[in-house]
Amino acid sequence: MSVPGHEAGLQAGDIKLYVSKPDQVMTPAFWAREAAARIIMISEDAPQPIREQAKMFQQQIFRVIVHNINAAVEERRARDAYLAAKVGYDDLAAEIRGDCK
Amino acid sequence: MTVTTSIAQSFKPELMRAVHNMDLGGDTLMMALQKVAPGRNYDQTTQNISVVQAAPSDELPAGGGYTVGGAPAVSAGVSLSGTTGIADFNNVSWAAATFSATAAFLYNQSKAGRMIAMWDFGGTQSISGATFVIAMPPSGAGTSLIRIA
Repeated sequence: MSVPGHEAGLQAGDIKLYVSKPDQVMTPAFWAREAAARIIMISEDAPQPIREQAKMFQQQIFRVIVHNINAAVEERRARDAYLAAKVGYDDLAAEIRGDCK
Repeated sequence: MTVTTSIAQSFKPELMRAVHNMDLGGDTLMMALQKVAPGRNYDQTTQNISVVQAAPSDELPAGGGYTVGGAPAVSAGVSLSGTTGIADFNNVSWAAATFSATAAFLYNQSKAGRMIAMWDFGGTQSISGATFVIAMPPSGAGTSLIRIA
């Protein structure tokens, strides 16, 4: 949802709220998009060619971040699955690995 | 009782007195959340987070992933966009959160809790065992979180 800001000479921008669910978490793409938007901030006042160039660069950064977040998630899942299997929770380990889709 | 989305009036003269440093590595700014059914009204005349926290506190109580005082709103920098001064921030999030909130307060922890701005959520926002994110607006003269035209 969007929360409108206060309009005056001194102004507060609009914030947005994101609320995830335990079984429906925010994806690596969500966090990568947010990170890329912070790394490359594109001013709405920038000239159009610069905006387009910056957007392309932002998209490249997004792809790098999402790839690496996914790699980190996979590493963590592999470790968690190993630990679960090690203490006899084979079903949980399979769930963590994503074998139960 | 309500929150009126606004910038604190007290923030204006405080800017002129160079009280706040919202730049990278500057003051520690915090985003605190308001509980459901607060007992008082908050608007541009609210000068300090201590007013919200005064007993009986209208801030969310500790627990469910929330710490009293809120979470840091980390600066992404202060700059000039065209003729407008802008201050941008990173998103503020609470992981493994279980709570309900109705508004957010941005205040300066480094400067005795002086209020900067507040946002009404337009209703109760509830979360259970997941992540609650306040996503900051994109940078720009017409969009940044704090702007001086």
